[in-house]
Amino acid sequence: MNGMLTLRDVHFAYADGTPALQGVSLDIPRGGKTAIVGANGAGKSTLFLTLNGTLRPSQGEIKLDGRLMTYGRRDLEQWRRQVGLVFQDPDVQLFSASVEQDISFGPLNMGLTEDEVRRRVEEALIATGTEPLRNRPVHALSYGQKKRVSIAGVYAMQPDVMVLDEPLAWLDPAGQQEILALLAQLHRAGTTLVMAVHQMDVVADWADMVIVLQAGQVIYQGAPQGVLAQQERLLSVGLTPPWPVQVFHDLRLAGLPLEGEPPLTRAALTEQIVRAWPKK
Amino acid sequence: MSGNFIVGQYIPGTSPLHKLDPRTKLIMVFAYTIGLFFLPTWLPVLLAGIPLGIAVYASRLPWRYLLLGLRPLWILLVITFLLHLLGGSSTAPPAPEDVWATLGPWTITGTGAATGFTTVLRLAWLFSAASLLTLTTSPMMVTHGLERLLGPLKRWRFPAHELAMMTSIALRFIPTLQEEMDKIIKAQAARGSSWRYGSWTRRAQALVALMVPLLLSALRRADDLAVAMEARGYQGGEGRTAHHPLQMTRIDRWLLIITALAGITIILWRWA
Ligand SMILES: Nc1ncnc2c1ncn2[C@@H]1O[C@H](COP(=O)(O)OP(=O)(O)OP(=O)(O)O)[C@@H](O)[C@H]1O
Ligand SMILES: [Mg+2]
Repeated sequence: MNGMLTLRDVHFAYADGTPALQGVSLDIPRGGKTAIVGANGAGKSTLFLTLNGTLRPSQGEIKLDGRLMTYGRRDLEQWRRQVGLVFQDPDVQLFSASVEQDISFGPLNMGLTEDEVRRRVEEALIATGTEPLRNRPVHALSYGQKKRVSIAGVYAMQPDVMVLDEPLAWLDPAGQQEILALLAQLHRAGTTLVMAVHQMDVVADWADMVIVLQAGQVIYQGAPQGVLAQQERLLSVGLTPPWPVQVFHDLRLAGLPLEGEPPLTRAALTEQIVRAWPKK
Repeated sequence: MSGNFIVGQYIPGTSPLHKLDPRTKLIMVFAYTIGLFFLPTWLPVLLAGIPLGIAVYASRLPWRYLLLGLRPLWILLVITFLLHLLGGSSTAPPAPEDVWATLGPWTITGTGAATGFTTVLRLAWLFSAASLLTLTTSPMMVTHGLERLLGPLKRWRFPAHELAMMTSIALRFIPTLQEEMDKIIKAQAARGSSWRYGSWTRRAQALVALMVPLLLSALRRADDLAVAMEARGYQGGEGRTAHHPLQMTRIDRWLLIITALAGITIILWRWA
């Protein structure tokens, strides 16, 4: 398999003994859009911190581009350049005094020329729509603005893989659409995307691969259809199926003779209903 | 409210003051601060407002901004003035011709009024100069200038890069910690605890109850900060992009010469 990032039997426990990852094995396909789902506390954020070497597993191995990662300085440098991580909590990620300064932090660490740093910062400011905020102090931004700035800070590093921890949480619908549009643009440009999401509707629309985490273990990796359509299974791990799947089951219970797999999208649901509609 | 005043609030612009090298501005504010404390009486201190006025004019910022910046300070200024005015500083009985009025235990003297006025002016000028610096210099440039100024000390293993980085991080987190304290105080007040009233032991307990979560949250923040910096490839100063040397223009050089001359004049005058 052409895995960009490959994890084999990765274990991680926090200092207080909480076992957060318990034998995770997964493959992030190159150029793919992978959604990582799981209930609160399933281990998504912990997993993400291991994906760019910020947390070091107590056991197991991680391969980037087929190369086994060690935790030497050289390796880490390369790793963080290739895998960019957008934190779940922007207040944790953003620590510089101004927006522009924060965005330039990563590129400066990469030792690029000053002109190149400036060019990338400009590009990131424009692409994420944060240009008007460039001189604002970070702590005075709204939550949604902070989210964008944290994406901009990683965008400017131009990683091959961008890992985003709940980038849509707390955003209004318009804000979510804008972030999704930005991600689509990155994806077209060849960036491999990995994102933790709670809304299964978004997963159904967006992802081409889904990984389900439960209590620190991967219980599913594969196409969205394979898991999102399974209402009972999702509910049993604390997730809510996409709304078309729910409506599909409700209609069937109410006696409408729907056939086939539960649909993931509105269009597919409508089509099934029209087909099953008692003809007059 | 403590929350909405921000010392680091930069206002972008293209004025002559904005264009100065950050190092020039840092040195000038530093020299100005020291100079203010060498000036002995109210008249020279008042006159020290002139260069400040010129600087404000050169910044093309509305005067309002500076006054707004002084707003959180005004209680401090009033108290300082009153303390001096009411003779808080003198130990010897005042000369009779100096006394303006007597209010019960307090004697209001001309000297008291003058020192009060001088101290208040000093504080106001100092604070205005510092805010003028942050109003016209982006935090990035402040950090950058600071790092370059302290750079020569690296030879003696002085952590210039780390210090500059810390300064900029501190600028970022002061308001956050303030907010956090506010939140904890409110959360505790909502459950009936306050260090503002009650017996001394109760107040002390409440204060400990405030400090512990504040300290814990500061420690957790420090931890998070380390993770966030590492995740974006930070491995200390070496290997980072080296900035082009900041460019001092002729104006910068002239201003530094003038600052030096003014400093020498004040020192000679005070020694003579
Ligand atoms: N710093 C920490 N110290 C100790 N335990 C932690 C720490 N961070 C997370 N945990 C624990 O590790 C487990 C996994 O947490 P993690 O944050 O990875 O979950 P998550 O899937 O991201 O959850 P959420 O959807 O709430 O963000 C949880 O049991 C959590 O309590
Ligand atoms: Mg999480």
